Amino acid sequence: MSGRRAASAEAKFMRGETGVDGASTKEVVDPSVAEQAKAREALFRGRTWLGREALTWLLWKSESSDALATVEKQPVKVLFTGKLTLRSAAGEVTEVAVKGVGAPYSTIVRQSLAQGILVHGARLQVVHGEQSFEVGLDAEWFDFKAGKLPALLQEDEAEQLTERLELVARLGRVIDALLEQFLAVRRSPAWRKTVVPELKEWMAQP
Amino acid sequence: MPIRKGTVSAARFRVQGKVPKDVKSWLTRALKAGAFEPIDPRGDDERTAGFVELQNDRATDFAVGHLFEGLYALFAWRVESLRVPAQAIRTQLSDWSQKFEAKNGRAPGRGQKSEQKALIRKSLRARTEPSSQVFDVSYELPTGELLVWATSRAVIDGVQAALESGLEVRLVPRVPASLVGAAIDSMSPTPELFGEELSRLAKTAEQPHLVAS
Repeated sequence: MSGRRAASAEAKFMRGETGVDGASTKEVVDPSVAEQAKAREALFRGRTWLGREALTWLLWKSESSDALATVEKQPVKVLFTGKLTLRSAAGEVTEVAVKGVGAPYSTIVRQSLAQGILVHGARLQVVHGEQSFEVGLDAEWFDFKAGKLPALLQEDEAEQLTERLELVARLGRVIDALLEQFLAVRRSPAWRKTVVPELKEWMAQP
Repeated sequence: MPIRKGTVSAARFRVQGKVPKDVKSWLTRALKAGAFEPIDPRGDDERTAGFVELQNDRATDFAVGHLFEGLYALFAWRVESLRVPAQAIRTQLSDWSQKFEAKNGRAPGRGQKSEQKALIRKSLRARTEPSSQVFDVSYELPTGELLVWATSRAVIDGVQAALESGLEVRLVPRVPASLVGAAIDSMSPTPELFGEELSRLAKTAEQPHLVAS
């Protein structure tokens, strides 16, 4: 070993970068293992898994045109539109994104769901009575993203602000009502006994 | 002002804790305590943030007439940052080094360069305009629902922390886990949907950032 190499090896040892055998002390992490660890952390953080279960249940329920909840005596109907993001914390695929007319209800989405890649981000059209809203939601925070409200009826600027705030509050109440519906089912014995088997059956449909 | 027009992007919270009867003075006091203060060009801070009035992002009086609109309290969070571009410092330092070498017949020493760099930074900072962003906040008084009209998680976290500290309450995000309440601790991911292993791992995993109501 040349003098320069020996000095470099000595310096690395002194810095703790190598051990007495000259091998690196840093553990080399397999990129796929690192990615799965990250995906798992994202699933558990803030109990995002419950949000993914909620959005997946909502996608399944929304396939029928029935009202999914009632808020202020008005029925609430939901339709998934536009881009849908699915995520998993295990397996070879950690994210699937689909886009297109009817994409959320496509076979490819159901096949992904069947493999444990559940809904993480979605864009919903929510109809409450005669008013139609659109909003993007994600399973971790359920923040409103690029939400669209029904047309304002008021003409005065101050009244428009109040009307807009009331519509946003109503959208919040509607989303809460949908989540309450999910949680009532999720916390009942029927969840694992009947609902999950039905959900799995739907996912397995061609 | 996104609260007035355009699409709606906002994080939703429910105020949880002791809200005094005199909501107006409670809120005004907290907003004044966390009021925005402009960045000092002579100082070292690169970022400052605080509450301002919704109508005027330079006003921090929070007079009742400006703060309340019907059943809502409306205000804003202003973030100001002042960053001197590293490239500008490098260019000026290089010019100075060349002049120094031409005059003295030698390159400046490390200490001299470092001193000059600090001077250049200070002078550029005094001439740089801070950039600012304003994010609306709405608080529905009867329900305790609070919206931070922003998409950046860093901004939302900043507003949440400032309000929790100023109002001495907790802002609980409106997510399924917080709607469940204390029972969330006994729940785990459905094994049939996520797999047995993940469901088992969840029982021992850290699941921070939410407080069940």
